[in-house]
Amino acid sequence: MRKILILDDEDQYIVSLRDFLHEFGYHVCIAMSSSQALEVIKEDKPDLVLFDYKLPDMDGEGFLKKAKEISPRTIYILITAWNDVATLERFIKLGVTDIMLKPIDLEKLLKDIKALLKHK
Amino acid sequence: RPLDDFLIRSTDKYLFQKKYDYRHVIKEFMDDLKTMVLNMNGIAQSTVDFFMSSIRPASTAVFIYNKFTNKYDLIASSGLEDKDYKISSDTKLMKALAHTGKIIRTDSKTLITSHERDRLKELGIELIIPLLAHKELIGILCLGKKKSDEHYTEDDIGTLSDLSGALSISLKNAQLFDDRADAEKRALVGTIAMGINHEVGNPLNIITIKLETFRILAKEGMMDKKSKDEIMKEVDDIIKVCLSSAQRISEITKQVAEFAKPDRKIVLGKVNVGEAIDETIAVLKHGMILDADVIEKRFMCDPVYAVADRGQLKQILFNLIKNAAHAIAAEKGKITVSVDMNDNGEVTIKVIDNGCGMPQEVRERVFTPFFTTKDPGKGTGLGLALVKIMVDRNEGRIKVESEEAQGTTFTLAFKGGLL
Repeated sequence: MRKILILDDEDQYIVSLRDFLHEFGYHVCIAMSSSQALEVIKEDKPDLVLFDYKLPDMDGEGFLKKAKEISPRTIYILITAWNDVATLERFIKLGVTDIMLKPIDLEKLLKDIKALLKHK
Repeated sequence: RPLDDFLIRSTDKYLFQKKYDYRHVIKEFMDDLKTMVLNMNGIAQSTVDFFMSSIRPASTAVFIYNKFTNKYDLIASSGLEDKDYKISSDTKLMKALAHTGKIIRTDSKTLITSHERDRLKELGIELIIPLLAHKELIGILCLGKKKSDEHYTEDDIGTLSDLSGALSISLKNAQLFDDRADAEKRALVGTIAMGINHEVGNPLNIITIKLETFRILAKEGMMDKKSKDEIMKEVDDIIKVCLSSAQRISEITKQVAEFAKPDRKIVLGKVNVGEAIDETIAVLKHGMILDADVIEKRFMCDPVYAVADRGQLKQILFNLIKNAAHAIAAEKGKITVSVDMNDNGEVTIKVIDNGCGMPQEVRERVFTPFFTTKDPGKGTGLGLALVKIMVDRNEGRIKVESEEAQGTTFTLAFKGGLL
């Protein structure tokens, strides 16, 4: 079973997203802070991490760098409301595989996840 | 009638020879400049009015540099025919003014091109006075012929030079003030925009996910294997979550609208503080935000008035007491509203709660827009920012004191007195 980790500070949002992905057979963990997320990544080595970088007191790029060190084979998808092109480019350079803007297109997310995990 | 004309001209000549009054009047104007309202247009207009009523040239005009067009725009004038006249900064004349900082007469043969001279003579301008602030030519002051038809003397030029210095400084200060106000406004708009993106974006995201989940599951035929009860429970959850998200959006929209409201006319008057407090508490109790016994009033002086806008004072109190109610909610604490007068002749109103208090890092940022320690969806962070803006607009002061686990006190101070 494929493991997914969702990182965001809005609890209703990540719970809803978790329930959705669960319906399609994914095992989903949630984290509300980058430190919590790094712990889960270290322990579980999830296949996929969905994260937003605009969390309070969070250095998104720092988190991604550390996460990739701990678990390089994990696929990272950035899901964010912020469409500042320069920042998105930086995240792509740091190794984010896919970017989705909020509000999420759930069908597209499902399709992308399926495709990305198939290649793995 | 030649005799009348002669007499009028002689009188004017005589009047203008009273150099002492002339300079005295200019010195008074220079002093006024220091205390003038910080607004460029106002200063320019006052300058024009001053010249037209005291020295009375045929015309007076103030041009100010426009950095967007690189030209000098006419912002105040009297006696000038062409109100749309703009002067380019690349002309020989303007360069000479900027470079030398000296007053130029329009009949100068060296510092102006003949084309410029003709144009200026057409407008009736005799004297061009540069307004230099920190070597930057921020504008020019133009004067037409003297009433007596005489030339401006070297003494006149000297006096006008002094005036131009004071005028330049005033205009520069006004400009800096405007620039800073603009920058503050833009920063505020930026903050509000980010706050909206977050406070509206997230609820919308949640609504989208809940609704889309249901739609996709139904489409994929995945609803078929669920029982009717499960489906109804799911629908119920969707409705609840969507409604509460909608509520969040409604809340932030209202708060931002209040925040961004154009400066409504504030009516400052003598407001009975006791009555304002009672009315506010009544509203809070009615809206079930406040329990009956939780609030205590302590009036050291009564009746007392504060100089403020009645509606805004009540809004300020409403926001502060509502916050206090939230702070004590968990432990069933108490709120005290006290009224007193201080040594400065001000009325002070304190809203005191014995709730959880705030650590220093929170206390320092408590009036910042969108700063909130509440969970997402439980507070927008605009309540206290609004309070601060309203207090400032009503020419009052506000300060906050707080100790963790002991409580918080907000102190308001307004001009006021005993009724």
